[in-house]
Amino acid sequence: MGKLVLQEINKVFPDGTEAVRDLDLTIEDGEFFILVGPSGCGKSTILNMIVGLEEPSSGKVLVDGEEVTGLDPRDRNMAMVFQSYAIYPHMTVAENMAFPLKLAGVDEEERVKRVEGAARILELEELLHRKPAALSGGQRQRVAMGRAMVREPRAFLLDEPLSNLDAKLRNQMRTEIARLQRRLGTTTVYVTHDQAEAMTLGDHIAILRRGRLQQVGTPRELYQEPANLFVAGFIGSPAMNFLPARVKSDRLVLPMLELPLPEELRESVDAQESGEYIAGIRPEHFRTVGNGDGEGPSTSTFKVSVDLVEWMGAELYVHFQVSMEEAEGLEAAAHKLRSLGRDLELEEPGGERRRLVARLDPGSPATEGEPLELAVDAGKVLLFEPDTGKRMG
Amino acid sequence: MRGGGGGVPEHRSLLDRLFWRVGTVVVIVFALLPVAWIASLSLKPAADLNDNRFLPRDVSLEHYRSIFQDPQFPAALWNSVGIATLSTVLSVILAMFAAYAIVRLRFRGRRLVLGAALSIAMFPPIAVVGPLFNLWRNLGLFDTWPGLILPYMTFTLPLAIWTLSAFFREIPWELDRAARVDGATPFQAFRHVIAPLAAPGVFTAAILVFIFAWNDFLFAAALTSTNDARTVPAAIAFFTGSSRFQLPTGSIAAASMVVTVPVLLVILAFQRRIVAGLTQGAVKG
Repeated sequence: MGKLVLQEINKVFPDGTEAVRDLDLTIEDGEFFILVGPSGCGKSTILNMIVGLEEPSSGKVLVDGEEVTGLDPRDRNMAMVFQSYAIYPHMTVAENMAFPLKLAGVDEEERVKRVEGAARILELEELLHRKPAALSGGQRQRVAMGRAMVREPRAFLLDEPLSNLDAKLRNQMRTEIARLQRRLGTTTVYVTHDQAEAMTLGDHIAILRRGRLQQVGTPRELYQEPANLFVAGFIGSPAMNFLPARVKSDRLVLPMLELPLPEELRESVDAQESGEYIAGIRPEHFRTVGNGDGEGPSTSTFKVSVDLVEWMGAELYVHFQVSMEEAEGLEAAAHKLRSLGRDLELEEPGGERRRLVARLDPGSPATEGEPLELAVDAGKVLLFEPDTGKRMG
Repeated sequence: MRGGGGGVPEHRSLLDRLFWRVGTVVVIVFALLPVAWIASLSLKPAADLNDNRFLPRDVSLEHYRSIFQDPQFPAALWNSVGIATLSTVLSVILAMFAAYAIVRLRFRGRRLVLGAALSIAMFPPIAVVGPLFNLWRNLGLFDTWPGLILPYMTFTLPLAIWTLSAFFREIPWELDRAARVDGATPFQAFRHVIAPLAAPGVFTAAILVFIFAWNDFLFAAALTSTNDARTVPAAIAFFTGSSRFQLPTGSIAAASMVVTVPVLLVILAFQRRIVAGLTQGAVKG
């Protein structure tokens, strides 16, 4: 009972800021849908347009096929949890949670029943008669959730609900919200700037940048088949490594080594005349080449000097640099990568050297300041068109 | 009354605490001594008025009886209560609308409104009394309630607007949006969420306006001539003794006590409502 459709939504603020442009989104009933992007990408504005706090400049918002674009928030029956929680400080927890019911004219008996039900689920029973000032951050957050739940709304809209909590509580509430959503089965739209939150919570994720939709997909799709350089760089931690690249007769030339061009890329790459690309390699697609492997030095391995090793317990993050100087014929691609990287605000532009991260097995012999031999999983390398950042293939 | 020593943390030295306690007592005594003197005077029988004693030898209510027997004082008291209350209510309501708009809406000249309000507050009232006297007589407002309510509102609105906009600024915008999503109309959001949170500000502003109107002597003396609109501070100036050779000291003291007590009561009643930090807990800081 809550399929949300946004059709050709545009939003321009009175001061001329273009917050959202040509947005089409379908959010299925009962789905946990995430809007993610860096700050200022328009994700909160989209949420406000769904709930009715803001009107789109053009376009339609549909709920279960019925247009709600011009309707007042009170006629949409959606519940929202704000980043600041926005619970009413002069009301007790119980009064806060009963407030939407009171406005809807639900009778006293039913109100008490529903508030108690929600309080039981959220473990707030002991706190019902406290004022918000006497609650901890996590408890306030649960009160805000409770106030949203009691109405049995058509959709939950959550605007960065966890960003005010400390790291431990954030993880705990994240699991709790996921469990709650599965249990209630209510369509949920969740706004965050944290890609890890997006990846762990969402059934589907929409990635936005400067008011434009970049890609919609499942977490797996976004991770494995990012539509463009921005999505590839935004999703995943540590972030994907980008390098200038060139294609030369079925071989992919990177600054530090050459690889056979992956099979599935050959067709699309042939269509490209310039031969210049940006290669994307996930940190986990580097491998240590052990001395005892017997493979010996070959074109598909390369030696680096390790800058920094971060020991994460189950894995190692190994930071190293790759020099651009010895890369022949890659200057143009390197330049485009730098300007695109700057434009997308992905990372520091980097000069003659690019900093890369590999995610390795904890058994790897990597030591700070020592050389290390690495190999790249050639089949996992992604290629991006250097001018637009679109992914090839 | 909250002594200065009450708020000092435990770890302060004994000397430090002693200094604050003694200082507080000195200030309080200095401020309240004249009030106590007037109270004492109002209770002395007429014959004892000049006996130079702080505590009255005999306590008598004869001055209180006499001011209430004279018709001009009860009339003045009624005028004072009515005019001060109406000025307060009108001024605070107007200031609420103005302050809410200034804080919540973005419009041209927002700062100009605040600046203009401030400049009115700085204007010396004595400068407008003469022109007002002539103007009011031509308009038929001389010696009427509106004739006093209007200047009181003019001079208290800026203060009320400034106080209230400072309070409104403290109320998180998101509460209003949350109420709208929870199903409230804009008016319900204001009534159930914004107004209760703004209450301390409203009480503060109301007290300031009320005291200004209640204590004013200048306008009351210049713009009234009869019991129709003359307020207590002006009326006291027109008190006469029982004979032309007697000063009405006792009556003045009694009347002063009668006008001081309501203000004290109003402030004591609302003091607890003026609690800063009522919005604490609305949003995580």
